[in-house]
Parts: sequence; structure tokens; C-alpha cells
Amino acid sequence: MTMINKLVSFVCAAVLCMAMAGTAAAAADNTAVKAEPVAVVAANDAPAAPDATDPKDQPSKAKAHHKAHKAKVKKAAVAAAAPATEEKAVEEQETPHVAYAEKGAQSCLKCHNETPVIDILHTPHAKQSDSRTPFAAHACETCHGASPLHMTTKGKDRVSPTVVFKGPKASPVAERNKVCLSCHENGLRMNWAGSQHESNDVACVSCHTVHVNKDPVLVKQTQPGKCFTCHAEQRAQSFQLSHHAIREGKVVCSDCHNPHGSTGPKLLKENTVNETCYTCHAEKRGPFMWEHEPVRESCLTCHTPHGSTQPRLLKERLPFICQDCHNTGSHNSLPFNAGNLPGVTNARAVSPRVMARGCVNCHSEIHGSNSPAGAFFAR
Amino acid sequence: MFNKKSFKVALLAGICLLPRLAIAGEDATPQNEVWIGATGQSDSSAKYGRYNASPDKGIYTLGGFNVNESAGWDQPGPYFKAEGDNLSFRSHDLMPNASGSASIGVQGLWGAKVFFDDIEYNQSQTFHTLFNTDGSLVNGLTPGSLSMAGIGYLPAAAPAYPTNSTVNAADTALSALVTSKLNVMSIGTERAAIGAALSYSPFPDWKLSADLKHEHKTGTKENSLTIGGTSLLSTTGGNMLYFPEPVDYDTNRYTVMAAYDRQRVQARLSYTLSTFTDNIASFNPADPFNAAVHAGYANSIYSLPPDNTAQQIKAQLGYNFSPTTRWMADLGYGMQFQNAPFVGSLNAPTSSVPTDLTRTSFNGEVQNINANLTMVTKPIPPLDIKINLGYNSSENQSPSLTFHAPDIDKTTCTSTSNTGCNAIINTLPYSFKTQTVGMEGGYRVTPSLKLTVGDTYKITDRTYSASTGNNENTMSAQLSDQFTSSVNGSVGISHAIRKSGDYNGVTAWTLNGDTGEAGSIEATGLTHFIEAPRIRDELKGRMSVMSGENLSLSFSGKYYNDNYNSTLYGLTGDRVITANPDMTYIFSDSVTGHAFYSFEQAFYNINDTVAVTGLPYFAWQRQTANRVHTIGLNGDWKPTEKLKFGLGYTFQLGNTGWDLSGASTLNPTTNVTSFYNYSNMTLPNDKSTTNRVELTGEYEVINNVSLNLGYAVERFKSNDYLNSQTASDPSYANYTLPGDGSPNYLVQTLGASIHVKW
Repeated sequence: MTMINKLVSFVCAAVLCMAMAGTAAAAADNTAVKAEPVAVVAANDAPAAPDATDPKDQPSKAKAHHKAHKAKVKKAAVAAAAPATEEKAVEEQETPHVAYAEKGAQSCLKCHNETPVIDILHTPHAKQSDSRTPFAAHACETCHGASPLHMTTKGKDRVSPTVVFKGPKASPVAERNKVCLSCHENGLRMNWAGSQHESNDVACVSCHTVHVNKDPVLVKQTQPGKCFTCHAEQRAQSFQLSHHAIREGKVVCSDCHNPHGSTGPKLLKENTVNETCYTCHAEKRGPFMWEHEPVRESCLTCHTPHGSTQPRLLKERLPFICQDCHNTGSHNSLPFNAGNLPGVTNARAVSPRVMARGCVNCHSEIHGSNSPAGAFFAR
Repeated sequence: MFNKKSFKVALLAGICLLPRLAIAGEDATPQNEVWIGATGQSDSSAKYGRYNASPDKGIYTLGGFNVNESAGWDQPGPYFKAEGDNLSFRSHDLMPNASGSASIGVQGLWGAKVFFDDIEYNQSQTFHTLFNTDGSLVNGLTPGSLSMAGIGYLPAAAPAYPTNSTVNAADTALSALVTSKLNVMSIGTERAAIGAALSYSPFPDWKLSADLKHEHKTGTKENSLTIGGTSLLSTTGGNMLYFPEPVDYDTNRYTVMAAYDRQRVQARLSYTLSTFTDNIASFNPADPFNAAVHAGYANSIYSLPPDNTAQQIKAQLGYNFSPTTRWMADLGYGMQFQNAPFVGSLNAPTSSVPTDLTRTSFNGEVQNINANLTMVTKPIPPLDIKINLGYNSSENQSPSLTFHAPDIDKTTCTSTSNTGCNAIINTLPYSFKTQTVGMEGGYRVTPSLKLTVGDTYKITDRTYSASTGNNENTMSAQLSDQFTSSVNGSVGISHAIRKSGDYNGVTAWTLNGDTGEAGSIEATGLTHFIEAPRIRDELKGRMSVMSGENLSLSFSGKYYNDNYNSTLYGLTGDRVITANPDMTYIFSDSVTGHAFYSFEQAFYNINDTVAVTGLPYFAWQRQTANRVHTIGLNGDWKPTEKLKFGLGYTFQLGNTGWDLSGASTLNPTTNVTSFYNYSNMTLPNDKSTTNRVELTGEYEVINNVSLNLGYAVERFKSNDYLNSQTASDPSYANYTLPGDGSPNYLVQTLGASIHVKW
């Protein structure tokens, strides 16, 4: 009798759980946009691409054991995903008849009940009430793919989930990125296709960490460190005498760059170099009555943004950088007579043009002047 | 019985649900944190505290928080987030460099955010000047009270260049007087930004958003101007003085956007308005050297950045034409306006001058258009192709004004024969247009080996420039390979040929009405490098090796060489080389080490001539080599679950050297040795070193409460000759320099904080 009561109670509890889950699912379905479950359609993917930062995935012993079974599953996935029309393929990408876990996240959490895996539950990805999220669809399997084999195998024979994002068994970059892009190919990621990072096989998870409360690459203090992992040259420049306040945590790479692709050069957020600089340096935007042509064309003519041994992020020291283009009569600024410089013993005859800011001592409105008397950038 | 059973059912149901909630609420990493502490700094240094708002020694409090509250992951409801950082309180400054934000909303439906951010920039604590920020003189100085009578000041009226006059008693006396009057002050700015963002999804695929940001920037920055001379257009100059430029800017940026996202098509339409207001239009200096000539000093007025606005409407479209083909297009149209009233020179020239500047503001206007069309396709699995068309124009529609420009310190021009009133000047609204077509193809020879080739052709058109434009063709190739499961790398090369349209170096002079530049260096071969024909070759590579599970090695490097092969004078070549090895080693589960080294060298070569009008030239050459070495060592040690240490060391050596050649001690006219001592002085290398050692420790006192300790020592040394230039000196008695002095510092900091998480 006790056993029967327990069984009845368990069944009732299960029904109640399912009912509640069903209610939640129904609520999610009522909103128009749902997170698209991952349809791992290998045929439509690029061939396995090496990850620029992650080790190549290694063959799994378990895969060998279950190769035939898995092939069947994938074949079914491919067949089911084969679009009647291209429109349907792109717009809907319905998951084929692949067996998702009936209990959704609960199935996964039974084993993966530890940090950092469960930290995802505090992130926007897990918000079930937002119909766009993975957890509003098939929970973990929305991103990791339907993985019945992973759940039914054990021990050393355990098959990896369909999509593995990190580690030695990581899926090819294209497969992983496709998962992310199924929801995120919008907004700032609109120009991801063909961008520098995409064409160099950078995976989304090379930079982003999903199973954390706060993705380090989205935090000011930790973002540069992530970027510097690959961009070592810029890391060194950030230590130079003149630099933007990157090390100090006040300026980050994404203030100027959009690593997901952009309409401007060098993955800049704005259309041009100058537009990007004017975002913070609007006082140099003009247009001025007196324009200095190379300034107007590109700030990079004179400045190097990531760091310089010269003041003001200049590529070369004043006055020499000016001499690259200018050497007018009576303005020779070579230290032919630089009496006050160390090691130079001329009693007199210091050239003002090698002191302090060189040419800019007098032509101090070098970015442009709005004074009628500013033709030579002195007013 | 029924009630009992019902209770059990409910209990079991609750147990069934419990793991979902418990997991979310108890076992996960704590989301909320608050910390408070204090730090002590051993010494004062503007350079050390340039960006970290700690230029002064002393003890400061510090703190921050991070709060995230929301319904469970499986429950609907709003979220709330708030964070604050650098909440430091000091005796004289309330939370410099603080930042914080708060967000609230319902995910997927709406969201609202407010934020603030404060950025301090400390430029100097020892800036020397004769001016207050309003242009008045300091320490009882009055216009003309610093007499230049008898000094051999530079540049003098004759000989204009070069001058070897000796320091005399008048120079010494004037310099002493200037020195006694100089004020020493701190220079720096503070940006305080606040903003808000709203987003709302009225329909499932739509999102509307609005962002606004207001920034107020105040303070001072080092600047300089010539004052008291008769002209910058003629051969005589004036005095040059550094002054604290007042900064009082308000910048606003508003953006509204509508976005539509489906899997097949994504579209965004946005409008951005940016306004810049300078609350101080001009710096109006009194001339301490000369009162008589420049009565009123009306034309010494120095214009500060003018108010301006910019707006842009931008449309973006992404379209997945098929599972293997995607189109992306964008079109941006923007306008920039600037119509701030002119400051200074309003009294000149007078109406008696034939061509007058009658307007009181410039009415500047620039139209910007940016458009791109890109197709990315994978026609067959191993092949991906990208084709891009780009168009960018900055059409300056500002007026090209022709008038007799007043000299900088002239108050009246009654005739074109007046000195400094005879120059016809044209404002030149430079415009640029760039068109680009690019194609890139990547082919995977094997699943791990990818070959990418590309070609980009770019045409640049300019107006009012020395060259009508350039066209540049860049060919590139890259090979990337995943050699083994633990080794990958890539190598890429590119070759770019830039050609120039008809190059006329005196274009700007001619447009400015100066027809006397026929024999100038601009006419005889000086070429602006940004427009000059150029050949650029670039090589870059990367290699990454994982040895076992403990060792990771990587190397990246780059080399490029620019050859301006048809440039006679000016920049004839430059090259940059970088090398960056990096190593990470996991000694054990509790100890990790990381080391990196970076080398960068930039080299520039210019050929030039001494160009004194009317005198024979002689050639000279300058080579600049800029070398930087950076070393970093970091280690983490976690002896127990509750205790961890971090140790870091960073070293950087920067060394800039100049190699000058070419000299003449002959008077170019008489061919005999004279004071025309065109003898190159060897500039000393500019060398700087930074050493920083950092030690951190964290101990979890009780569950989720930790004590953090940190110690850092940083030393900076520089021998830059600019640092030794005093604000005033008998050899330049009619100039004042910033006189900032040595930036060298040795600063130690020790801090402790308590972090509480929940």
C-alpha cells in the first residue's frame, strides 16, 4: 500500500511538474519569436574549420562505438532540415525529428549541477520567459544540440553533446558560430559574415564565456585582457608612455572597435577613423574655417591610437613629424642650433622649434582654427 | 487521507521543482558583491596619476558594488542590476574616476538604464605660466611690464634664420624677471558623463531604442600661442607663451533606433545627433611683453574650439539570400555644421581694404555619405567568397572665402600696403571621396588548411589638394593551417601599389594667392606622404603551440615597409617590425605562470633641404628609429581553496634615436665660413623605462567574505631632453615653456579591501 501511495504520489507530482512546465512552455509559445533550436546540418556548413584559439577537436572513442547510431541521427537531422524552399530553410530552420530531452534543462542539471555550468541560470540566456532565449526552447540543447546519445551513454563510452563549444572535443568553428548566429546575427553582429574575425576562424566562444554571471569580455576592466590574448602588439602599446586609459580601465577596445564586423575600416564602430575619434573628441570635429587637410582626412596621419613613446599618441616627435610634409623657408626646425639641449654646448641659439611642442608651439591650432586670423593655425 | 495525500503530492511536486530553484539560488556563483577598503600612496606624480585619478600621495578610501536581482530563470519578472566602481572618497575630491550604472526591465520586452562615468586626466602639477585661465596676467604683471629692450630674442627681425646672437645682460635680466613672475599650477581635465538608455519591443521582431549621453568636461590643458609679433605671414615673429587653456565643454549625443530582426532579414534604422558646446569661446590674453603696439589686444584673441553639431541617419540591412549566401548593405548620410561666431580680428580689415570679410561666422557645413554593399557566399563547401563595394565621401560644402586676412596681432588694416594686411587668403574646404571594390576568396585545401587571396582597389579623390587623388591596388594572400591538434598558425603577405594623380606641391599656396613659391621646396620635390605614390609590402604571421596540457606558446609578428619611391624631399620611407612571443605554463592545479615579450620598431627616413628663400640649398637627411621592448611576467598561486596570490612584473624600455646628417658652415651667399652654422647637432636619445611590480592576495575569511590585499611599486625614468627645458631661460627669454620638469617617479601603493558576496 505504501508503495502504491508513493507511486501515485510520484505520478501526481510528475503530472503536476509537467503541467507547470507545459504552462511555461505554452506561455513561451504565445510570443511570436522563439529561439531557434540548433539544427546541426553538416551538409550546409563549411567544412570543419580550425579554431584560431582552441585546440582541434579530437576523435572520441565513444563516437567510434556509436558511429552508426549517430550517423543515423544526423542523417535524420539533415533530411528533416532539408528545405522545401530556401525561404523555409533560412526563415524557419526547424529542427528535424531529433529527440530533445523531454525534461529540458532538468535532464542536463541532473549531472551538470555545478559551477560554472549552472551559472548560466543567472544570465539572460536562461530566461525562460523571454521567448528568444535558448531556455525558452530546448534549454541547454538549444545551443548544444539534441544530444540523446550523450544522455544515454555512460563512462568512457559517453558521447559528447552534438555541439561542444570548448575543450579538446570542441566542434568546428563554423558549427559553433552557427549556433550563436542563429539568434545573434543582428544588431552589432550584422556584419559578422566576411569580417576579419570570421574569415580568420575566430569562434564566438574564443572571446565570450556564456556560463558565467558576467562575461569578462563585456566588463570594462577585463575586456582588454581578452583582446590582448591575440593582439599582443596592442597590449605592448598600451604600456607605452602615451596611451589611452586602457590599462586604467576607463577606455576599452569596444569603445572604438566592433569586433563583430563593421562598415568602417579596422573593425571600427563608426564609418571612418575620424568619426570614431570625434565620438570623444568632438571639439576637433569642426568644420573649421581653416582646415588642416591631413587632419580632416584621417587622425591616423599623425597619431597612433594604441600607444606611443611620444607625447599625445604621436607617431613621431614634434617637430619632426611635421617635417615629413613641411619644410618652408625660415622654418627649418632641425637642431642646427639647439643650444639648450643636453650635450649641446652652443652658448645660445636655441631653436624654439625643437623645444616643447616644436612647430605646435606657435601653430597650436593644428587641428583647425575658426579665427579669421587663423590661416596658419596660430589663432 | 485525501488531505494527507494532497499534502504529499504537493510536497513531492515541490521537491520536484526544488532543484531548479535551489540550483539557481544557492549553488551558483554569487552574483552580488560589495567591497570597501582603503589604499595608501607613497608619493605624488601627475604622470603616475594621469588616468587613475591618484596624482597625490595620501590615504584614500575605495569601494564598489555589484548587485543583480531578478526572478528565477524559470520565472517571469523584472530584473534589476546596479554596479559602481572606483567609489573613492578623498579629502579634496569626491569620487574621481567613479563609474556606475543601474538597469531595470523585463527581458525581451523593455529595459531602462542610467549610468555615470567620470574620467580624470592629470596633465601636470608643475605647469609654469604667466596667465590665468581668463587671459589676465599673474603676479601683478601688466601689459608691457616685461621689457624686451636689448634682448637678442628669437626669432629676431634680422637675421631671421638662423640666429647665433649671444645671451646678453638684457636676456638674463628678462629671464630672471619672467622666472620670478611665473605661476605654477596643476593642469588637467575631468569628464563627467551621465546617460540613459531605453529599449522597448512592441512586437516580437521589433525593437525600439533610444540612447542619450551628456558629458561635461572642465579643467585646463597646456597650450601656447605667439603674441606680440607683427605677423605669422611675414618674417617677423613674436613671443611665444604657454598658457592654461580653459576647458568647459558640453557634449550631447542622442541616438534613436528601430531594429527588425528575423532569421532571414535584419534591418536597423538609426538617427544620431551629436552636439558640442564650448562654454568659453576664446582665450583673451594680455601681452606682458608689449603694451604699446597692441592696444586692447583685440587680435591676440585665441579662438577655442567652436560649437558644432553632427547628425547622421544610417540604415543597415542584412539578408540571408540562401543558407550559403548573405548580403549586407548599409547607407549612412550625415551632416556636420559649425556656425559659431568669429572671435578676434573683428575690427580688421577695415572697409578700405578691397576684399573684406563681412561675415561674422563661418557657416561651415560638411556632408558625409558612407555606403557599403557586401556579399558573402559559399558556393561550394570548401570555398567562401566575399565581394565588397564601398563608397565614402566627406564633401565640405563650407564657403571658400577670399579676403584680406588680418595678421594675428593687427588691430587695423587701412590699406593693403600696411604690413600684415596685404595677404589675400582663401579658405579651402577640403573634400574627400573614396571608392573601394574588394574581393576575397578563401579555399580550404584540406579541412585544416585554408588559403585566402584578396584584391582591393581603392580610388581617392580630393579637392584643393596637392594631388587630385590616388588609386591603390592591394593584393594579399594568407595561408592558415591547423598543423596538428596542438599547433596552428598563419602567414600572410600583401603588396600594395599606390599611384598619385598630378602632384603639385604648391597647390595650397597658389590657392591662397601666394604666387611666389615657384622655387620653393614644395615646387621642387617636397611631397606629402599621405598623397605620394607608395609601394607597401607587408608580412605578418602567427603561430600557436600547445604542448601537453600545461604549456602554451604563441608568437605573432608583423613587418611592413613603405617606399615612397618618387619622393625627393619629405618622408621617403618608413617601416615597422613587431615580434610578440608569449608563453603560459600551468605548473600545477594551483600555480600558473604567464610570460610575454614584445618588440616594436618604427623607422622613418626623410630627405630634405635647408630651404632659405633666395639661398642655395643643401641636402640633409634624418632617420628616426623608435624601439620599444616590453616584458611581462605574471603568476597565480592558489595554495588552498580559500587563499590565492598573484604576482606580476612589467617592464618597458622605449628608446627613440635620431640620426641626422648633412651640414654646411658656409655662408650660402659668400661661400665663406660664417655664423650660418648649418651644423647638425646630434640629438640625445630619448629613453624611458617603466618597472612595475604587483603583489595581490585574497583570503576567504568566511564563506563569501574575503579580504584582499594589494601592493604595487612602479618606477618611471626618462631622460627626454624636453624634460630639462625650464619654463624660462636667458637663451629664450621672450618665451615661456611649460617647465613641467622631470616626470620621473617612484610610487608605492598598499591597499586592503573586504569583499562580501551573496
